[in-house]
Amino acid sequence: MNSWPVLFVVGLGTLSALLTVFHKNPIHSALFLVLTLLSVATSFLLLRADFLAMIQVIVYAGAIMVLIIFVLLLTARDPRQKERLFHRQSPMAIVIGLCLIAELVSLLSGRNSLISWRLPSAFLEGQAHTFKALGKLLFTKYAFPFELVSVLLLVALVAAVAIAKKEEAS
Amino acid sequence: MTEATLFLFFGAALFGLGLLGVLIRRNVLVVLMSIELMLNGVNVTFVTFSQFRMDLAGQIFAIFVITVAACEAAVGLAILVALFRLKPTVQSDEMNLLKW
Repeated sequence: MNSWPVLFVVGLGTLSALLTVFHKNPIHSALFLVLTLLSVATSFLLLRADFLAMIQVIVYAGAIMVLIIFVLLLTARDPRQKERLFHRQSPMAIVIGLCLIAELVSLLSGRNSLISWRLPSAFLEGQAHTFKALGKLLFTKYAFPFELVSVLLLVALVAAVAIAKKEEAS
Repeated sequence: MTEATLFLFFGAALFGLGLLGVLIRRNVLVVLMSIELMLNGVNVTFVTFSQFRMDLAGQIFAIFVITVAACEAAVGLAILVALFRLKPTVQSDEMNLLKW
């Protein structure tokens, strides 16, 4: 695999994730989040996980982002949204977060890291689609969690409607 | 540095940035977006390991993670709307109705 597309996608995704977290305007950070999600979808494509790339675009960049932007616009009349971005606790939180990030980086770049890993050659040649294999697995080995997750979706749907509904004066 | 390491670094970066966002931002919507970032970092790591070990279980798990993320976003945003109706603010340190 040529590695400059990977570098480009990873760089773009990391940069837009940074802007998502630190941008002043929440609408802008939502749009940068869309860019991050799309670069995650592209990296799924580069990893030859085509089904997940499509799911990522449809569910994340489509459905979830529409929900988030909708609620952003619903709550936009709070005038002090851009006043003070960070918590009082943020110095401590930055220290703890940087500790975790340093841990992850040292795990990945240490002596027993995965630097020698390469894509298995069977993956580079055949295996154009993962749809069939994933479908088989979902309906045989993972059929029970699949049904369970559908119940979870139904419960979340009912809960979202029940919570967000306007309460009647009883 | 190979592609696997690059993707794993990408996942770690997404997770770390999401964690920072959850910890330091005041706006609840940005906190929810940062949670989505963290879930995406986990997904990138899952898919990388799944492809490099040639085992599809990681991708199945990523599908379930995406489903749970959708549920979480729906319920979280509904709670936020209900809370905004009660007290018109989106700053997390002003939501102190239960504090005394």
